Amino acid sequence: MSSPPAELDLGLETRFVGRRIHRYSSVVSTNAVCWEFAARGEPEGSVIVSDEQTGGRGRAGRSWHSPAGMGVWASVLLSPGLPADRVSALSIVTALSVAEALRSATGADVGVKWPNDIVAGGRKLGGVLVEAGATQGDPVESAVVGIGIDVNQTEDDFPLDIRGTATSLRILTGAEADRDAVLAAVLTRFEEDYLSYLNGGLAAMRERWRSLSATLGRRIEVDSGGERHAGGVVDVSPEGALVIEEEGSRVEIWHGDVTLAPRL
Amino acid sequence: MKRKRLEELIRLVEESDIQELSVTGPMNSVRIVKSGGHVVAHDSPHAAQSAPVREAAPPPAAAAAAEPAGAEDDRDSGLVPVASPMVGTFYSAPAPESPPYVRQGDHVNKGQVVCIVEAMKLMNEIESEVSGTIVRVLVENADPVEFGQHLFLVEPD
Repeated sequence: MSSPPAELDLGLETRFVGRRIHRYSSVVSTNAVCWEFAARGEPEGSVIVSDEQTGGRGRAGRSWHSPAGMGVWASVLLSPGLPADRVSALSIVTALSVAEALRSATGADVGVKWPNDIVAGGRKLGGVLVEAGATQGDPVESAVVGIGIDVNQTEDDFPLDIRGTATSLRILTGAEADRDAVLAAVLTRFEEDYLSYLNGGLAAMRERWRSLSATLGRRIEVDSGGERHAGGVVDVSPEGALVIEEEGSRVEIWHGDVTLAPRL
Repeated sequence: MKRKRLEELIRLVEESDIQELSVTGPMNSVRIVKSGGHVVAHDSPHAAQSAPVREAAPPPAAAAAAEPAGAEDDRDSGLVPVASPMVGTFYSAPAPESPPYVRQGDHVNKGQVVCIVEAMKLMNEIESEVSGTIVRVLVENADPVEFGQHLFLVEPD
């Protein structure tokens, strides 16, 4: 583990999310540190936040550029107690929470892209990576929800390969934002949505998802584990799958990378 | 279905006027019938996950009936499958450039992570339910997998 953390008190009025926050100056990955805490019996809702991640993870080990002092890189420890197939939708829930919290906190026009992207102006603003451990038939005891938000980068701060496809709150609003305030807004919103999901699934969130979906009505292509699909996005299913209309029939997409098809 | 949950359901039926109760869970379903003052429970896994130890093993005929089409005939071989708890994409390694979690012939311990199944960008680390040797890897990296699909066969110690 990296140099010892400081305790951060954001004064949240949540029930459990963010009541304990361990802040690091630099870690390889906040998700990885969060799992180390989980193994030592850390309570649900505890948060790991770091000024920098040197090896932030995206899907399947892809790297996430998370330089010092520029963004919010945080992980929340949860004990969902749900079957594995219901835990997946936490990606949807979290992305929606983050997007709505950022809209409220900054006024920026932030949306979601299925399943786990937070987007604005056609560029990526943030992402979510949820990790869980499961054996078939048992409820998932622990999950770690990783959240990455680009906050104070200027265009020049992004590496060349993502310049033009990444954005930050600063680029969107023209002003630097207080990263702690952003984290506080996100954690507060997330707890509300997480509890709502545990109690009633996605039912209460699907309309909100549709209203913030950057892909609704757009034609997308998806490589879903070797199967390719293309169609117009019509909805998110009650289980969190992306619903597209492909040649007159509705297809549910459960996994894979979604890319917007070029406008014809 | 876990034994404790099954016992709860049986008690529920015993203490009520209900004659018959069917419950379908994510992994299996159970039918509890009150008959002549006794309560009889039938617990059948949806996809015949042969013998996770805490499940009451179904009779062989029931297991055969519940076996999904195309599944390997491993019931009599004593092999224990690791099955996917969800629809998703199978990843054999934590990152593209990393070595796989396990290979054929490797020994695994109960609770050891053997792969990742991803759905909706949720990375689910799948653990082996038994200690033993991986005798077969049934899927390839990045393959789509179905709910209950067998990913590995483990020969228990």
